[in-house]
Amino acid sequence: MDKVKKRLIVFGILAAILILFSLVAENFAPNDPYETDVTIARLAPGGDYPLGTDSLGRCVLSRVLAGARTSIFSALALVAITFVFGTVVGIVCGYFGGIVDSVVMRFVDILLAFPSMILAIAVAGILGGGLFNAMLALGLTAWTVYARLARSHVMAIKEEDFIKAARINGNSKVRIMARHLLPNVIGPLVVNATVQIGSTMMGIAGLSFLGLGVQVPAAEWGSMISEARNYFQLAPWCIWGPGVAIIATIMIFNCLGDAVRDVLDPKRKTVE
Amino acid sequence: MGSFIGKRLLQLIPILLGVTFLTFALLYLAPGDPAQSKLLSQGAIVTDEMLENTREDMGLNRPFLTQYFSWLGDLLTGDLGTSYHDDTPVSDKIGRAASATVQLTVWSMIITLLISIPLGILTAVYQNKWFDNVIRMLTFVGTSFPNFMIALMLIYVLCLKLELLPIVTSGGGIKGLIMPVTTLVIMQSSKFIRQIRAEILEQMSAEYVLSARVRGVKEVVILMKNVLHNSMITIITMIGLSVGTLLAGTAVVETIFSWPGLGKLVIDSISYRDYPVIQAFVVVMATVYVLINLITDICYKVLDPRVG
Repeated sequence: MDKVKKRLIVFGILAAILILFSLVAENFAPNDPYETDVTIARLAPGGDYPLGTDSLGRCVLSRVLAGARTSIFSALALVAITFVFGTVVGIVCGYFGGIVDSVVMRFVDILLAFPSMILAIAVAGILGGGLFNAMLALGLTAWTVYARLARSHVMAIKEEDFIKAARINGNSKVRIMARHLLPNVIGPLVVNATVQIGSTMMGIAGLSFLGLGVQVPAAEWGSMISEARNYFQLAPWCIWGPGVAIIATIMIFNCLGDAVRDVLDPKRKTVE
Repeated sequence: MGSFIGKRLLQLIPILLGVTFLTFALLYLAPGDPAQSKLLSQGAIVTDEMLENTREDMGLNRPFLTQYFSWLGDLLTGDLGTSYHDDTPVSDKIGRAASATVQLTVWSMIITLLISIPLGILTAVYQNKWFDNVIRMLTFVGTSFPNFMIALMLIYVLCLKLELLPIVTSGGGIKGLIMPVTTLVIMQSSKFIRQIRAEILEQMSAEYVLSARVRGVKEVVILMKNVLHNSMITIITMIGLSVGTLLAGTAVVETIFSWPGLGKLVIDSISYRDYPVIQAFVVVMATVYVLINLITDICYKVLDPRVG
């Protein structure tokens, strides 16, 4: 087996373990992640609290574990939703063309004129924070990439003989799109989706850090860091716990993204 | 050339109309209506009568499109409305903050390029040697760090451990620029070095390089004259595309380091529910972004006459 595929398998397994672990991580928490006790506020790491305690005396390790599911699944869900939505829009626009296509694509052009994170900050800010609003704000522009990719690939193949043959055989338009176009355009879209996981995670954490994402007291890595920033000098460990967790997670998903790209899209290989 | 720029400028008009329309519509995302937002932002206790008067004052009883066009008209004359929070002109606030953000972004971009171009070339030339491996490792780590973590780690090392710099440098000045610029430079160069390295490697394997080598042209000359020149298009695209992330990065970095720029202004305005400032921020940022992309396209045309 060649090196590239081996890398894909290694990081695929790592990512799968991470995802599965995040589902049950809360059960491994040594203490109650939400129980506050100011008499043990800001304890340095050690003893009953391996990663220390925060300003309300909550166990940092327990909160990191409890936050894993929110941090990881919010990013995965957002990528999945934008991927499906963008792909469907792109295939439909590419296949039918015409006025709907023009209107949707002009709309996409307009959305792409906004720097995505800037628009997300404004939208999340106006909607008033919360995980759902933060995801909505980031999703507003994220789907356009898939729509554009899917559309251009569909346009390139929709006049091919096999599509014509399918049409002559009496397949419905929906069936042609689902059975013949989708499998042929999905490769680059999957690459893009995997590459986006890391940056989506960064986006959600960034909004949470600015106070526009997950709200306290819910445990989520970005908002834990945002809260702990206020007493950074007194208890830097409150940042290191969630900080290391988020960096490690992003690294694994970035490696996975690179590996998927190298296997599925050898032309745009990361130069070794 | 002139007609090319003219055509591109014409194409901008519908985009900017769409951008301003969406931005104007943002206001209606807020819970309640703008009159309620304004009163809440000033800390008033809202009564129905006050609400109705404020609506009349703000022209909210007019049809939506009329409101949009009057807002757009004001925008074109540089009037960005008045702040809900303290009734001062938004353009004053934006203007003051913009210069701080421009300082931050321009310095970050200059230093990023000064670091990334030589390192990108060197890693490509010493491909798979220890120097390349170390830099590649570092850039990989750098791209996996959220910008706020870079900033917090800098604070930890430079301010808390080494005590080289004060944590809060209010009011700006060169000293206040060091940390925010360093954060943005780390964030940007990690991406740039990787991309420049990949581009140089690709150019080096092109046939014109081989033919120059065969003719006995010195390696340094090939690199500096041909390869670098041909890589410029990629580098310029990279700069154009990165402006969006850079501008968003300033929002985080300015908040952390209390740098009085647009990013800090918008985060503060969000907490006051001062929507006209948020709107103005989005319009200004999107316009800058669109214009930079236009300049990128013009640069292509200058560098590569084949681009139509």
